[in-house]
Amino acid sequence: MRAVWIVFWREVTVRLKNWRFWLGTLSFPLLIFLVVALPALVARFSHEKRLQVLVAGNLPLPQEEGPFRFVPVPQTAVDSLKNLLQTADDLVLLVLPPNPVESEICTLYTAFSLSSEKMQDLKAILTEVFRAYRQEALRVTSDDILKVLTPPRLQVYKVSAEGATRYSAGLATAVGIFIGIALFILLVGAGYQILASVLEEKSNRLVEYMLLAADPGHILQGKILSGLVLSVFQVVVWGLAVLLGGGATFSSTLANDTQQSQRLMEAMQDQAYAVPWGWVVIFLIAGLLLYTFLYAAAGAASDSVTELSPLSQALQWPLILSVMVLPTLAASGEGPVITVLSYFPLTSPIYMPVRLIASEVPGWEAVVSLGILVLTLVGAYRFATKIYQHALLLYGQKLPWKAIWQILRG
Amino acid sequence: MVLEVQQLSRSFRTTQGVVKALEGATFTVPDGVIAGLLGPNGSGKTTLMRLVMRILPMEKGEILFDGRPIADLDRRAIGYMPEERGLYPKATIYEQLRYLLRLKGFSAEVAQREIQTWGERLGILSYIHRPAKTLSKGMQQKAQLTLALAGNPRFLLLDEPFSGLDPINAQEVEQLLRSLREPGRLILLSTHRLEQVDELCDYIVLIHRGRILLAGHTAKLKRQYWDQRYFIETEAPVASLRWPEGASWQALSAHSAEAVLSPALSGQALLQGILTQTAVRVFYEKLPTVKEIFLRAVQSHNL
Repeated sequence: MRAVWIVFWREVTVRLKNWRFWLGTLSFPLLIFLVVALPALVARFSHEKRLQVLVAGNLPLPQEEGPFRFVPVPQTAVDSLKNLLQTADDLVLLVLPPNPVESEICTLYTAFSLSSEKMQDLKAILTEVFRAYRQEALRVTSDDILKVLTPPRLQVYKVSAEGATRYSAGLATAVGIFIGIALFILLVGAGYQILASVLEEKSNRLVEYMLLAADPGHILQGKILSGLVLSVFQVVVWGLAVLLGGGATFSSTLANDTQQSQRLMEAMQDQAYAVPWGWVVIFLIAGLLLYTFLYAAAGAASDSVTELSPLSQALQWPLILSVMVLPTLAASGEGPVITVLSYFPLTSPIYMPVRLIASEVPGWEAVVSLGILVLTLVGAYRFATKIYQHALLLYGQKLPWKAIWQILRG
Repeated sequence: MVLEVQQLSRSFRTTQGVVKALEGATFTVPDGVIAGLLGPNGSGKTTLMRLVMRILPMEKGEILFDGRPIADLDRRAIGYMPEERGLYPKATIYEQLRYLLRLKGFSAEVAQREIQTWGERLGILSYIHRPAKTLSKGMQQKAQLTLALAGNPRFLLLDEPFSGLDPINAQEVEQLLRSLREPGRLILLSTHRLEQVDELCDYIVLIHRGRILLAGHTAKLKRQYWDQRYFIETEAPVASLRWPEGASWQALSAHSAEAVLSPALSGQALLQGILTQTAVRVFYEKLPTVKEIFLRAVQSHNL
């Protein structure tokens, strides 16, 4: 264990002294600022279009509130109005439950993506209206209603020529995608850090001395542990940057509208509570371990940064695929591709947390996915240590699949 | 005997099939010597060294040190300089020596002391705080040697220690190795340049195509492989002399020759026969070089 600690400490200190590590750590918050905060700042100075909400139901909604204008329509016209939605870019259809005391599900049909802010605003208005209606109907105090009845849930359907398909609500999807991107960057970053570290020692011909000095398993564990700790450190930095930077930006954006600002903050807090952080952390750690094992093996099987083994190239594909599919999640929330990716061990560390955040996934699915991931993890560790121990001494060559297979056979 | 290698075999699977790197290698080496593991490129020297160092897992056979499995020997008692050697290019020599020694099991204090001791002896202290990439190959090699020598190991293995060194640095390393030769310590070095270690190694292990051809004290082997060859330098031209029966000779210059005698003719008889004709300036037994022993051993093993 002493060797693990010595390798760990060196890896951490060397990387903390490296400007590339800090560039990688700090560029992500900057990217988030550009993607999230900048549009919000721009939106502050731009005129926001008012949304026409066609309402089918009996609740007494206000005529106008915030960015919405509510227009009552008969329940019988719902189907024909769905077709009308595609002809306008400011029209949505809201179908309220027939009995708002018994049911809380409201359905929103839209032909375009709604911003997370609008979704939260609408939900806040509906919550108020539901509360008032139930108070009146049940003749109880506001506090009692909160205890007894659940606030309304907004199910959103995107309308297109093919019909209406459900997609996840705005903020949940945004948070899901944000965490998905963060997981992706972490997995790639940690993987490449390990690959570079292994490759440096191999190409500098230091490994032979190191293998005499310590057990190869301990050296590998030290490297993997350092990758894990540094990745967690990056997560903390990113989290703080998002909280501080994002909070400050939204506060300044909504400085003139304290009510809206408060609503948004509440919505974000609600969303933060809704994120299954336990699952996110478990999948993050399992994913980091899996990718660091595999990238360590890939580094050992390569000869230099320009002569990477086929294994390292193969590892990139699931991650690239993950990023390509993420926008699909934004559009539909669910689908067979995303479900498959959430079970496939090389992509499940990204997709199962994203699914858990953005849509309703039964707990057993997460357990099964994690089980597959853990089994793969055990196999990957054995694979990595074997490749690491054998391929490190094969200088001047990148190993083809056949050679990797021969090493595994012993 | 300090090092005993018994029936050691190792093969590798490659894309071209199974390659036998070592086949039943058996030899012993005593302590207090500089032993040369000698053989051409690809003969199995590095594989043997890696097996002794436990860097490669053993397939078959046994390696004992002081009668106990080599695996029982403390890592700190072994000094190793691999053939494929290098350093972290951006780290200073001091940083990496300290790290690698600590990895080997030395405490921070001992590591620092050893770096100071051996660094001073090898003359690396003047550049110890410079990054490795700013140093010449000879300087880097001395740093690697410091790493191998730190802790004053009982068992020192040096794989091709002279490769890449200029003659001056090679001589320095040679002198250092001689100074380290003492009872209780075994220095085993490998090289494919047989002529380089003729005078340095007092024990040799010859390896060819994964098989041990010979192992023993250099002086004894030289005597064993000596073919009654003499060197003679005379006043008169060697071509004008009458050579005794049983002596086949070859002129090396006008006044010097090399003579190989039949078992019936002794060196003393040859000298007396020549002295009756001319004055003899130089006369000595010409023992075979390590390279000649190697070639003869290869021939006799029909390899």
